[in-house]
Amino acid sequence: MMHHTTKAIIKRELKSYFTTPLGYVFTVIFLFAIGYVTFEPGRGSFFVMRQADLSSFFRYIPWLFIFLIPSTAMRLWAEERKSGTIEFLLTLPVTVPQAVLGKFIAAWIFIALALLGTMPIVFTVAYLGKPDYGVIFLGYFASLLLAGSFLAVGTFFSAITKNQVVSFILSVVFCYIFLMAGSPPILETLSTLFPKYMVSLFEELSILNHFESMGRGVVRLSDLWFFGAMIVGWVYASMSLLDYKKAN
Amino acid sequence: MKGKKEELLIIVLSALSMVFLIHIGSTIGKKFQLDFTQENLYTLSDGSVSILKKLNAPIKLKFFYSKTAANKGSEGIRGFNNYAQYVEKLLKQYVANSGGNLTLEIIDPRPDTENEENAVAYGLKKFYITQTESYIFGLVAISETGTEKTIEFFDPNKQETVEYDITKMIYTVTDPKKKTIGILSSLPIIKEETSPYMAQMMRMQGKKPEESWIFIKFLREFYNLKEIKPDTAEIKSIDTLLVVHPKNFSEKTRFAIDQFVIGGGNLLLLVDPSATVDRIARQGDSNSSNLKKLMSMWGLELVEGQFAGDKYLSGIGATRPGVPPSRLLPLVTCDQRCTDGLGDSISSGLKQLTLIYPGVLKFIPLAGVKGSPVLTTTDKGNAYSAGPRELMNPAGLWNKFSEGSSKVPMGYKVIGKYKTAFPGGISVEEVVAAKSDKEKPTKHRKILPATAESLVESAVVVIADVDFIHDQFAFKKTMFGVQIANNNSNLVLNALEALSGSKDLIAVRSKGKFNRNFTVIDKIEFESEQKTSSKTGEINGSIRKFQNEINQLGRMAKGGNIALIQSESVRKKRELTKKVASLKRELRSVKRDGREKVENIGKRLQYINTLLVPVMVLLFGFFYNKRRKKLTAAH
Amino acid sequence: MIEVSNLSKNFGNIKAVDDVSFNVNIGEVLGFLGPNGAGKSTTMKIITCFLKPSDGDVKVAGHSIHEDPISVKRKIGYMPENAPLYEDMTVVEFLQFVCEMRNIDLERRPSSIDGVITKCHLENVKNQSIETLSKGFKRRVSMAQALIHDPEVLILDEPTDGLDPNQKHDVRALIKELSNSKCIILSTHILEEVEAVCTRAIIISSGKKLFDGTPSELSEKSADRKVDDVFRAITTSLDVEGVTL
Repeated sequence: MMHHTTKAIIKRELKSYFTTPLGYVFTVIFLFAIGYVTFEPGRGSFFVMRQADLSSFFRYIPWLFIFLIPSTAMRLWAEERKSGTIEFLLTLPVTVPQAVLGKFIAAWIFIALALLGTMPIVFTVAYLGKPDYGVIFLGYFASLLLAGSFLAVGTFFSAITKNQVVSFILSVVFCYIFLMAGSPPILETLSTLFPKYMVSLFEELSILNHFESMGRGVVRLSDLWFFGAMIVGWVYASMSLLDYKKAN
Repeated sequence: MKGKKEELLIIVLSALSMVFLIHIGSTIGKKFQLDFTQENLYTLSDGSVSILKKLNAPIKLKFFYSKTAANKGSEGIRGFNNYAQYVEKLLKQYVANSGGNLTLEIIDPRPDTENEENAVAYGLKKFYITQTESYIFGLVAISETGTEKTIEFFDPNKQETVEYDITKMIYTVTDPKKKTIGILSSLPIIKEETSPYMAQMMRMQGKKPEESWIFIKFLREFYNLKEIKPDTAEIKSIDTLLVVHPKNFSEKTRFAIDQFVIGGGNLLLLVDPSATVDRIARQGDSNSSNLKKLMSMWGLELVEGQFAGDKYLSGIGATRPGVPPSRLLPLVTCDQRCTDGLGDSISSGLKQLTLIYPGVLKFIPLAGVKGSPVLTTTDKGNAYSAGPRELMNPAGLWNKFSEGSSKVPMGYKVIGKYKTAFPGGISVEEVVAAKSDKEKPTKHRKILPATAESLVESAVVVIADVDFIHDQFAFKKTMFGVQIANNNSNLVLNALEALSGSKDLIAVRSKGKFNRNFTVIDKIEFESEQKTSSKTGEINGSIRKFQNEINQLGRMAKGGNIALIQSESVRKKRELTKKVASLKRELRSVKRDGREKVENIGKRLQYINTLLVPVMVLLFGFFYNKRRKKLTAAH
Repeated sequence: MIEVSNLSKNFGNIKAVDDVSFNVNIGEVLGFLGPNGAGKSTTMKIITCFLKPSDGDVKVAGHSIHEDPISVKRKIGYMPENAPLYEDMTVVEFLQFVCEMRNIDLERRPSSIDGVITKCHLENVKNQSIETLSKGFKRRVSMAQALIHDPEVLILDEPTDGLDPNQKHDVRALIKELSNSKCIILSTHILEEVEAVCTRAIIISSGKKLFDGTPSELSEKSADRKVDDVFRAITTSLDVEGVTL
């Protein structure tokens, strides 16, 4: 079902997460940070709320992902471009879409593995009380889709430049815009400039709204469609961009 | 330069097409949803769906939410956005299930606009959150005939019952009459209303005016009440029947109740194995009430001589004045644990109920009858029996009680079709008026035939306690007049409201909030609290003992050697101070132990969650790469 | 084997390759000569389908780079300039990856990998990660990946650049060894190399093909057989003493 080249790239990329420090740095920072903020002593702290749900865990997922995922995504193409290996890779009998897909899926699997590393929190709530496993499952599923969307955005900006820092900053900015599209201050500003229809259109783009909506335990077709469109759209854009760069 | 321009074009085009795609998707895809929550938060219950299906005229829903204002407000107000979104989603489900009869208008009322004026005119609550911004969060339903019903304010604390509230509103807007409740009791709970002037007069004459129980006055605000005398043979022209403490009811009365239920009437029944408010019982009569035969026909049984107890729900109180307060088994203070997972709209969300010596209910499955508990103990609760003497000694009960392993029901709801308890009807004495002056009125017996079984379903709710609704336990007198002390009155009100609505309304399951508390922590804290209270008791005991001894010494001093007694009392006092000091130290350490236990669990979990997996990842990385090197070296 | 026809490539306003045409057959070793930035690498990148031409076409074994780039890529073994490699992998892992990408039969993989390892003298470093290798070894790894599927067409972009004399010798020997059965294009700006290994030389400058012939034809243009002088005369169009174009 998947092309052998895509499989080979997934395999290679995944392995490189385990043979280079980067993968470990990412995983350790992510796991430590999410554990820390979940338990962070404060009003919203997990142990202060004393509710056996993962809301104080999932609340921070977008804010960690917004930095960590662009930092994984930035190297996908920018590094290939910088070290010149892109020339080696794309002169192998592989099409650009196959290569983009392979790298994207590998990074996605890697983040899924990092998410899997947060399992202790599930065991924690299971030990402390009676959590709603359906909601937890959906929360993880939504996190995965969120990661996919950020990764797709990051892939695109990684393909645009060979400078990893530029790629990182651009992806963070764009992820932030998508994350905050539905936030009150932004909508407030927009509503003074644009007609109501435009504002509600903008609100629909909010990743956070879709993510939180799923985090509450209900998934609508429009949520899935949104994440699907985000992922497919940005990945497709990355493919076109790389193809286009070939011609220039 | 041309390249850069084209790159920009690609970005803009792809962005635009994506926006377009997403817009199409979200307009089409909003209707289809999958609910993953255990409570089915986003799915309407069958009762609501069935009420919606029966709508045959359009109803307009106007949902007012000051979104713009909330966004400008404090974080607390913004937090309401979440709940508002939930309500909106739920309302959309109503519309989707209404077969086109419901229309929903979502309004964001801005200050000083027509929308805001309308909202206030409908009776919605308006709060000022800043000088200029006001906040409205309510719902109006308007029927074709112009009947309006409102939910003035969606209280986020009542999320569990929001579906019930909305469904009820839609139901009442189609059926807006005030209902009549019949009240039947062996206790003097309902009296003719006396005017304040009359009451004053009576008081001046030294008579105590006979007053209804406060909750009856409370009910008058919502219903027409009709007292039914305990010798009635037929109960009619009421919507719902409330029976309180059915003690020594005549066959005729029981027959009347039976036939009322068989005829499709709904009943709220309060029975009690030991009603402490039944003062008449003091003269040797038992204070327990039961409708054994009738209840058995509904599939219910009040287990005789048994009480429901739960150490984890026990309230703190003093049995006599002067005795230090302690945990009392008969005082069952229910919180959300009592309604956990029951998902019943009658009881859910009630977090503060006080029951006194509640009885134990049992459901014996019957064909055609669905039963579900509305109120239970926690799964550590158990049934216990207690003789009349033991009832007076709660401390003894505490020690005798053993923890159980399953929830003990104290309230039950049954819906179904029943058979009569009087298949042959009953024979009653009938007085025939004299035909002429000469003849005496004659009495003769007559058979009243019974309807053998229900044709339509009816609902019976039984609560195994009577005391809880008495003034003493449900209300408190404050300087502002009588106030509701807890949720006891809400339980009765909820039950009557559900029972006097349609059957579908009773079937609306509440979005029962499952108990997601940290049970492990709760247990530790409970145990620690128990230890603390026993230590406090010990301390108080020693102090009392010392005082007795001092008093005794004082009495002895009248005749004896004052100096000796003084030195003796000084010595005793020193002893006591030492003992109390050491006990206090123990008390502190008990308290600290409990606190530390909880803190330690928190710390340990925090370490596990922040460090365990990272360390495992690093170890894995270390060994994986080492092995990789080794393997490749050996290649 | 390779037919390059009217190939042009513009980067913005710069014409990197300007209407270049030539054919190369099996058995030929074509040396691409030219000053830096002349368009040598660009031409090679177009043949290997890394870049798309602005105009013209390349056919490799009958497959057009426009219509069937995958088949073109399958026929070619390409060693890019500076030998870029995935440095975190070991040599064997890297070659395995190339095998997977080129879909070499599972049974044939070990022999293919061993074959190129021997051919490129990588036995001693095959389990080291590439980042720890010296420049010379990296070139050899790059050469090995280009040879692993035994391609008919070999395109080598400055294969001896930055190598010490011994390493250069080894590479040239390898090229000579391969030249009988393959069609090889290599780019260089070292003129002796052309004379040493190439059967044919093409000089391009500013994207234009200026010379196409055998190395001896090239050197004959100078009275003293100084190839340097000829090169200078051709690429700068200045009069150089003793050179007749």
